[in-house]
Amino acid sequence: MGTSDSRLLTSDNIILLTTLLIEQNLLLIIKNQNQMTKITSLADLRKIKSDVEAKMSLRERSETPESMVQIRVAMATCGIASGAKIVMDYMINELDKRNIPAVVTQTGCMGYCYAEPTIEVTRPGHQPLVFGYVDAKKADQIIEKYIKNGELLDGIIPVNYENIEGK
Amino acid sequence: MKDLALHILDILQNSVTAGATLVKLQIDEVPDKDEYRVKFTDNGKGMDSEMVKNVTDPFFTTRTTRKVGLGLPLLKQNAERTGGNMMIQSQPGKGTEVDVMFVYSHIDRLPTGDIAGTMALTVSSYPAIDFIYTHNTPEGTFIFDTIEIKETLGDLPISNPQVIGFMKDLIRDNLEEIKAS
Repeated sequence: MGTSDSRLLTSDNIILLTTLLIEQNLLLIIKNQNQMTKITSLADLRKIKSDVEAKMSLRERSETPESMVQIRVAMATCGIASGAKIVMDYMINELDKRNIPAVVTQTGCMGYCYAEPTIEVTRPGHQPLVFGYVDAKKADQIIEKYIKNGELLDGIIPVNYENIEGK
Repeated sequence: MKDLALHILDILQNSVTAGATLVKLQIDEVPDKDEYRVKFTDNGKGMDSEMVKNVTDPFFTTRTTRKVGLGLPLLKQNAERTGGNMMIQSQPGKGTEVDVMFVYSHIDRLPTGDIAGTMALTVSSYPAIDFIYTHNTPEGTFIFDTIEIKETLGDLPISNPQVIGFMKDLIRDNLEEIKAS
């Protein structure tokens, strides 16, 4: 009677329990050690440099900014206060993840403070376009529709100008 | 602005617009003196005394795209809200220094925010400008210097997304190490 009851603390169960506990402790120790040693330093940058360069093809290496998608995020007081930093972070990360060669930089106020965050997108060989009210969701649409396929979408600020810096 | 890092992102742009080639940011956390100081120093075109007086007026700006300039006034307001202050020194042709003091223990002192992100995004946007960011806490000092970074990078651009990610990690880890608040 009761021999098949798993709740009984048989010697087998005790051994199992102890092993589990030891394993957990070991894991914790390993985790702590990892945290201790993991401080990013310039040595990591050297590794990144060789990794990136190894992955780059010759064609990419000779790529000029003009042959890449250029994005300028309006980052004056008005833009920053409306969330331009989040948009810029998002653009840099997502374009990299989606393998779209692009340069994302900051620029000043374009005078469309009411529509911040605003970004200026220049596809290679095309006129720059300014999009207003950009958040992460809108930025995703801009990448998928406009940058990848050239489709226009809502939120374009219609204005004739050469580029922001000329203002 | 929601946090200090966003203010820094904003004010660093002033130095860029002023044509600086070297921009320094220094943060000193001195809980013993109940001070949290943020100092911006650049070698840009500087301002005359009349302009220095005007820059903290919200209705003064050098830009032509709009009629207000809120960067410095908002930062000043946030410093004064804690009982701190903002001092600006500038010389035409030499550069500008903006020294902001927050009272460390005051409840209205802004949260620090993502300084690592602020620095990485600014530095990568202006590859021709060098930035030196020093952060002092009672636990230690961290110096982030783009001259050093660019030397290591060689011809790999600082705007490379992997490099931006690296700079964020570098700053974040080291700030944690010196227990920056």
